[in-house]
Amino acid sequence: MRRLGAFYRRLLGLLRRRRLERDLDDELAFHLAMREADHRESGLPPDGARVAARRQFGSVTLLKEQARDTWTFPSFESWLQDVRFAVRTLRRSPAFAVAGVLTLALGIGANTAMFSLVNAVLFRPPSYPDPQRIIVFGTVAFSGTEFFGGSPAKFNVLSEERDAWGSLSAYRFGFITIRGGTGSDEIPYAQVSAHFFSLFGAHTAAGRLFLPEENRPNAGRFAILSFGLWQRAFAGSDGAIGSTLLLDGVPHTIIGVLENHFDGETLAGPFIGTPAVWVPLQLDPASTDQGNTLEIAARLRRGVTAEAASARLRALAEDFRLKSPGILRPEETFDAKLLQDVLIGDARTPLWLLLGAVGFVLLIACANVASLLLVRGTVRIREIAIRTALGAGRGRVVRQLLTESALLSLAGGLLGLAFGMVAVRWLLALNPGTIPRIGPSAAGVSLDWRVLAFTALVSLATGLLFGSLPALHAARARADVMLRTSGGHSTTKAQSRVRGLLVVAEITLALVLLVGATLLIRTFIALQVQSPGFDPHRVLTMRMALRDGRFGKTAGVVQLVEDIMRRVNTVPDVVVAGEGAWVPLQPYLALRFTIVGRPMDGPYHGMGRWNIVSPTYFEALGIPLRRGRLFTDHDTASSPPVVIVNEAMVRQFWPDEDPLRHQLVIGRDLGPPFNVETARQIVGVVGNVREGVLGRDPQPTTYVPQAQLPDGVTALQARLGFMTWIFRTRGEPHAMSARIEHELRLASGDLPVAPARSMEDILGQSTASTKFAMVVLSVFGGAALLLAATGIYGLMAYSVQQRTHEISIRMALGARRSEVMSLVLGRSAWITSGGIVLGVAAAASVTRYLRGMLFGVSPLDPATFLAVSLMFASVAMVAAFVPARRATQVDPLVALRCE
Amino acid sequence: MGLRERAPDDLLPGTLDMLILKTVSRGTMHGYTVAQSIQRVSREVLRVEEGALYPALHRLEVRGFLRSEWGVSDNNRRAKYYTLTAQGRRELEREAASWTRVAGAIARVMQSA
Repeated sequence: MRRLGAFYRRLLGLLRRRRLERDLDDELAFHLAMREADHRESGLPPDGARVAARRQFGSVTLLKEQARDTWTFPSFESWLQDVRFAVRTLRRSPAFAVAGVLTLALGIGANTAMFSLVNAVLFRPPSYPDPQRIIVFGTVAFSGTEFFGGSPAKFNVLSEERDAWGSLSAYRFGFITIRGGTGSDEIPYAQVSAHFFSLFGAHTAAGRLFLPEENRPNAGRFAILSFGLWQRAFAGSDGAIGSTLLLDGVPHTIIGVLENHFDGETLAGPFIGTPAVWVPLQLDPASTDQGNTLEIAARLRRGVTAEAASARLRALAEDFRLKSPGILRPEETFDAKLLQDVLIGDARTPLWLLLGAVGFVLLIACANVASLLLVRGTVRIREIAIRTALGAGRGRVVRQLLTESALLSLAGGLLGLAFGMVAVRWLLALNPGTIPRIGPSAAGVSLDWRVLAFTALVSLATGLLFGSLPALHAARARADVMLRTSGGHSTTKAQSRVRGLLVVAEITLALVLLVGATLLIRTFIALQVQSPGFDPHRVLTMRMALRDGRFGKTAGVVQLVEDIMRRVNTVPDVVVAGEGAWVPLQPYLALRFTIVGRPMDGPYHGMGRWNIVSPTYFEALGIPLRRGRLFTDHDTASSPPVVIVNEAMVRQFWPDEDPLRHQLVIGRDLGPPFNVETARQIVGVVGNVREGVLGRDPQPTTYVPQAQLPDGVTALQARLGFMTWIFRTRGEPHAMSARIEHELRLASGDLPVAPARSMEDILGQSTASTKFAMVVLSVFGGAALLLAATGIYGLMAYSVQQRTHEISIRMALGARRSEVMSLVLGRSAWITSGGIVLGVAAAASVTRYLRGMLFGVSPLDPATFLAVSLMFASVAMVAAFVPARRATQVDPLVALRCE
Repeated sequence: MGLRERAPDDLLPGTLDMLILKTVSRGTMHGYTVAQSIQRVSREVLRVEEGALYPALHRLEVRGFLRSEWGVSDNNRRAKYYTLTAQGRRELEREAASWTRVAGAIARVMQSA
């Protein structure tokens, strides 16, 4: 308490420094006056009395200084002196100050930009109430595989729990078509179960939320609009409530509008975007549907730990095993993760990598500034020596120099913050569309306290980092030696060695960055060069929804396909048209299958992608047939059931057998619509196509003909899925999209069609995140190379300048130009090769963290390492060449005369 | 705290604070009176220099043992008056007790020779 009081009084003193000064003057003046009066009383003449009083008093300045120290903080006072002195010193050498501040501003700015992005994705908590208590359910295996989502059957088991969590909710996101002014428009939408809005804290701006009875099966069609759609489609009018909205051709009654700031995009993910329409999921509480098409989240009750929830989930998994035998494999169980962790997903590693990379750039910038400071240290040797001789302690000198560094880094930090705010916009302009949580038009990336704290911290740490080495170096030098010798030769030598080491460190770091960037560039090239398994050129795709109730039977869909085929084949530039449930690189459905006649060691033999296709699907996409045959118009509902598999499936299940002799039963375990599936004869093997996940081996895939789909599955697909049309065209595909869309509408009785996308667009999007990492890392790598080259140049130029005298003597004694050249280049070569050796070793130990982002190139790819090393060697040579040439142009007479 | 505790030749180190507290305990007074008073009461044996007096006064004020206010002196000048606080009184008692003990001990040692 007493200490606090004293601290408080000092703080007050600090704030009222001016008044303190005046009070002190008054108090001392009063004292003097009293003493003077006493002296006069004892008989001294007035003048003598004043002089005597003064003399007795001693040093007023010292007294004032002491009082100031008592009343404020002594360290603060002298620190303020340091700062003033530092400002004066920096102002005296503006070139140095500007170079230092700019280098730092670039480094800090790049870090601020990268951190803003990382902050938005990884650190900023979701904007839902109490997000630390929201968990997401999943199925995990001991082997470490995990899947966060669930089926209606799993949801029903989870909703029996009352104690561990409340507001359990299932939801899923997708696209739906809405009837707009001109044709149709595809918009993101969400289906949500009863407690969704209370779980995520959503409120309405108009109208109301769903009633519990509106979320029961067959309760009718209702919709809640996003605030954005309300403004766009209804101009924010209250008339929207109660009116009808055609979604996928089906009328829905609008009952409410969500408030503007509700963040649906974070949940839906960057691929879907902000849901514009919310509809009730209307789950059947008795459903045995085993399709894992839902996301399931809940709010933990207060006091329930994550461990307790996990234990409860394992128990519920056993209940589920009893109710739905054969669904969970023995090694699988239920578990949950925090919402935030699930939302971040795969984005974590690449973002940390890029943040690490930009940190390297800052370290290199630090090394450059430290090098500059070392040079300055030599210039200021006399000044420091004089101050030391006048009694400044080593600590004081170090503090003074560190204050200068701190000032530089803070200026760099402020400028860097401004630069970072600009740079983050550039960064987001490269946004591949796969970064979660940054929100529509990147509104989630903002300058919050975390970013400010990060920049402040980085600036200070930077100042200490680049400042401490030169400061300690300067302070260690002995005053007497420095004053006696003219240049302080021994210091220069040691200093030059330290600078050499700094440049070695710069090359090491820059090399690691460039190796990483080059590996990503090679990945990107490999992705461009390697065939995706289909021919993406001049292929247009359009997604069509069959929701309007006409397509509950397979025969109806087959008829639709025939009608459309007939019409679009009359369009002049359509080479071939095909149709399937999914096209490559898009989200897909995977089903379990069993191989007929093979002994069972588990509930099923395998799991594979599943696609429903028309006979011309493979031709339209250019997927090659490897064995057997493709589907034909003769594969109908009445002909024997058939299936086509891909090469990956053959390699995994029939490595030494003829797959065409085997039969598959697909998806029968899923229950109702699938339980009528019978054994299908494998009639063909097609090539593998590239999947969405980089570097993963091709997965088994099965294709079944549209005409042989059970009616129930067709109805399910019409309700939930899409039909994707594929057109191979003669010219630019997008140029024909309007014409084709028109034909589709005419032939289908005006079914809604989503905007056309070419397969090249889809392929481009699939490599967008690789491209993002590649571009960003290349920019960082390039900046690092440039900084390192500057470092080498600066060091060599300075050492040539320092050795002018020596070089001129050598030349006067007959040294040839080439010898002088090699003198300079030799030193540079030593430093460069040291940096390259260390850099290669460091890169080799770091690049494995890139593995998940690489494709077609090993993290230790020798060609990459060699090429980058050679590049560094040549850049370093060029950087050293200029000073080396200058050395040979030294005129011995001039140089010697100068001495 | 980086303060140089300057003791005059005839003042034991560390006792100045105690002497000031004791002096001020007799009533509110300004710095000059404190110095004069110590000199007078000690019969001119102890002399407190300004260079030690004011840092000590300020130190004691910062630590909360003295309270100060500005007033007008007899000769119509602006003067700073110091008063002992309750906290200061406790500190004085503590220091006085420890002083008595040490002084007694020293006296005993000196007499034993």
